Amino acid sequence: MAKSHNALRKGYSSRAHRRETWFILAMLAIPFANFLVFWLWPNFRSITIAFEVPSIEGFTLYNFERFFDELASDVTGPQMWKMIDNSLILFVVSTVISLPIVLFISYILFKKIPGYKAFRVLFYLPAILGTTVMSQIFKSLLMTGGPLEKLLDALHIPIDDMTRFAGFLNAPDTGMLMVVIFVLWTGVGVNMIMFTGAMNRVPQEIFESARIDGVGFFREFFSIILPLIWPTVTTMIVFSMVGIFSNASLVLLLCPENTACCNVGYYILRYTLNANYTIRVEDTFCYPAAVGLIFTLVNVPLVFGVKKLCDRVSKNIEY
Amino acid sequence: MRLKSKPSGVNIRSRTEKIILSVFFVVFTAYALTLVLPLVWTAYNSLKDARSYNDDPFKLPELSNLQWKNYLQIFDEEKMTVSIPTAVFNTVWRTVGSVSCGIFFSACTSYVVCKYARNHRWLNWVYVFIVTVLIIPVLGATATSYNLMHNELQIANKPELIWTTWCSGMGFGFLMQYSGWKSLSWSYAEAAFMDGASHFQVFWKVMLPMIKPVVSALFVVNFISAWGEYMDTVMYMDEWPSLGYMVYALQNQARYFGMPLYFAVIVVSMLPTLAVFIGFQETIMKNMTTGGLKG
Repeated sequence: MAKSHNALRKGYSSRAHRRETWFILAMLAIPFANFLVFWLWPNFRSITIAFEVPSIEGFTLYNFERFFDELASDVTGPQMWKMIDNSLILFVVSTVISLPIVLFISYILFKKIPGYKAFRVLFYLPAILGTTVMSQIFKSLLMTGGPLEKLLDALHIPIDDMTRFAGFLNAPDTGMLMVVIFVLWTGVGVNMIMFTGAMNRVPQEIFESARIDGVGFFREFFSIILPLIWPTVTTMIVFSMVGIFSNASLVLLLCPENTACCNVGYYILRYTLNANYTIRVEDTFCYPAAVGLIFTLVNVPLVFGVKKLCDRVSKNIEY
Repeated sequence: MRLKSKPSGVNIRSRTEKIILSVFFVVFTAYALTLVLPLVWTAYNSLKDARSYNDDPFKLPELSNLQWKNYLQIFDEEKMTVSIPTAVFNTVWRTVGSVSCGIFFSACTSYVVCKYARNHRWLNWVYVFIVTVLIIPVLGATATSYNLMHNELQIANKPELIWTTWCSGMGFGFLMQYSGWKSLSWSYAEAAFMDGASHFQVFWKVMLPMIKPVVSALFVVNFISAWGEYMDTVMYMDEWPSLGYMVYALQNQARYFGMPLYFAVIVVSMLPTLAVFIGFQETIMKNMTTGGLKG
């Protein structure tokens, strides 16, 4: 195809080719430099630094030993496992639970439920206002002496003393539950836009002929819509997998002090932010880099495995 | 399935479909209320005084006693312990900078990768490379990025250098604009080349204006995320705090100056994003739902 096109273009000489090459290089130069400095270098350094400790000269596995020691220890172990659990809980909630729900919501909107335009705008509202604003309003509703507490009191629903003292987000028992509720509550917007977009691209004729064939409401969803928009679903699943262990912002925004809510991403972030101020030598950037490397090694095969699996579930259907 | 002969174009719904849709209409209305009511609640509580908020956080404010002065007080540095006008200023320049750099450089990369690959095959590899980088989960880099900003490059808290972090030209904007270029015919460019336009002129003056819908959708998405930004502030711009960071940081101190003042800060930080969204509502909904990402 490329050759025939070249032949069509008159006066496409090697000089023109060279000029194009210069243009391409100029257009890519700054982004490429940015990539080298802000992506490749920190990532490369984070691999080498994981095998360093300031007090020890040369190559060491100390950071990895420390991580697995802490994981196995009776004192720190339970907390470490809890943070891994929390990362997985957030992943399950946002992908296994929320994604199918949003997919179905998108289908209902796509079927033009009365007021679908208004619903679409309203459901997108959390994405417009941003996680920062939504999370802090959520936090204000749930804080000690706040509206939720007063509401439950008015309804005579008992609250235990710990929760009352710390607030729903900071109490060990309820903290994670509240984070999960927040994820489900605000998680519709962006995915909904992606899914309705994909559904709208399915040619209208398919539905018309399906309707003539007597395909019902649910069969249309499972047998027509789902296979046709599967590539979009796959993309969303893969992106969500990428973030399993890196999502630190949710915990930072909602309950940074609650150790029962800590997840892997926040654990790494907390170490990083403390590293510049700490007096313990081993608490430098080396340890969080090693922890990050360990979870990257867990995550990469997971992401590519799931992507392969998703691709195999349904062959790409072109339309 | 009963089919009545109706004029084409009229949506014919089966009975099951009607029942399902009515059930979901109720569910959707309830969910929409849970999203809207907290915002309304925030807005009207920003007009109360601290005492009446503490007495009853649900009660509407008395119309005769609306505390509009809350909106003046939040700009009082002594009362709030932080400077909200500075935060507004920081947010504006950081948003303008990161959004325009982000869009411009992802337009550059996606344009050449999409439109010049026919004569320069290696650009296909650049595409694969960019998409792969996008889905590689990188975690360890939090620490080294922090170190890079603060110690190695020392660009943390330096506005004159911070723009370099905004020129990545990869990521979500790349994908979105790439699909925009893909559906744009190259013949426009060829016509312009005939008239003697240079490569950059064709890109800037002919091609870029034609994917304006995609660019404006991307603008809204980038604007929203840049306006509410707080993570960069935490990581390396803490001396130039954004409004999003203020919303986050002030929540813990809100009990000292009163929740209504805090809510006023939230309302002020929400207004620009709401305005942009209302202004671009049609564009974004249309582009995100009909164009957007494929696969």
